[in-house]
Amino acid sequence: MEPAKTDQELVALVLKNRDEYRVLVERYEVPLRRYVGRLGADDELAKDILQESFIKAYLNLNDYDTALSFSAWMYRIAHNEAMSQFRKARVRPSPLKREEDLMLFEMIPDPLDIVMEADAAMDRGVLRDAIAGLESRYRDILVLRFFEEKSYNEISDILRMPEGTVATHINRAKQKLRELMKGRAEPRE
Amino acid sequence: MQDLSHNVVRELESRGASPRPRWHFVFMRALFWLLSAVSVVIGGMAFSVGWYVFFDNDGLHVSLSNILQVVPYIWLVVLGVFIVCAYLGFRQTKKGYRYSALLVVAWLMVASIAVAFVLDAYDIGQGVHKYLLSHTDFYDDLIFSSEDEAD
Repeated sequence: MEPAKTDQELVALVLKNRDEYRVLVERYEVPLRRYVGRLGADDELAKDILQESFIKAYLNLNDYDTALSFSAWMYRIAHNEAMSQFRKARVRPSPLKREEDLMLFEMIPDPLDIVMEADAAMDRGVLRDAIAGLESRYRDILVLRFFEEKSYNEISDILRMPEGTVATHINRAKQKLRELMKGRAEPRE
Repeated sequence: MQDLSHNVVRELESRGASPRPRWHFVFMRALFWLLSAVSVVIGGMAFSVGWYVFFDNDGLHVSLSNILQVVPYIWLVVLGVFIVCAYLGFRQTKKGYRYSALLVVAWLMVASIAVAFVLDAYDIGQGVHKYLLSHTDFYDDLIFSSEDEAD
């Protein structure tokens, strides 16, 4: 069996033959649908965002820098498209609405300390409210780091910011999340 | 899964879309580099005029009592504006976003000041200052120079 082609090889093929683009779309549809869903898009909006993102990616394929991962480039386009659609709709839906995402968040080793430090009786509603209460720049970076499991380098390429800023934003996001969770858990005592 | 890939390719076909040519992106990137470079040169020129007004302008007596009046603020503002332009241009280049704003601004300042000293060596700062003094009405009000002391 022929080994699967790399993204870079596929990009070169797509530039010669548009039909090859199907393979790239199929490769990235699931992760990107999950990602824009985590940013807050419902199924219908996610479908529109994905379609528009893939069309934009195709039109700008000659701008793709093979030194970057195609994944980071695609995530960047999908992220920008999602933000643009949210702006058009004048809403920024609450991210991480799905119960399984919140469960996943509790199981991730790194932010687990955030959860553990909060009230032990905290339910997922508190976590959900706290995440929704974060500024969007912090929410987006938490989603990329802990749910999409992107490296600092990839997040830097996706959000077009220096790696140092990525690290700072992640730390601030965790700190703010911790404060918000404490704030929301206390009245329940 | 196939639905989306099918829809995307069908949509591209119906639009008759093809990837934008590579030269388009090369041109856009070159424009941002140019914006950055031109801004550094203009910022450098602003600094060289300011330098001339503050340090080289024969006859201007700078003392502790008038130092705040003598500082060529307008040229510092012009330098600041063009450093910002240069930064914005650089930020839009392919990998410009990877560098911290502080570091980029520091390098652009160094580059502008280096350009300023080159221009100063050719008396460009002096030329611009004297040209503006003699050809505009507003410049004299914006700057305190030896010409003002002579008045």
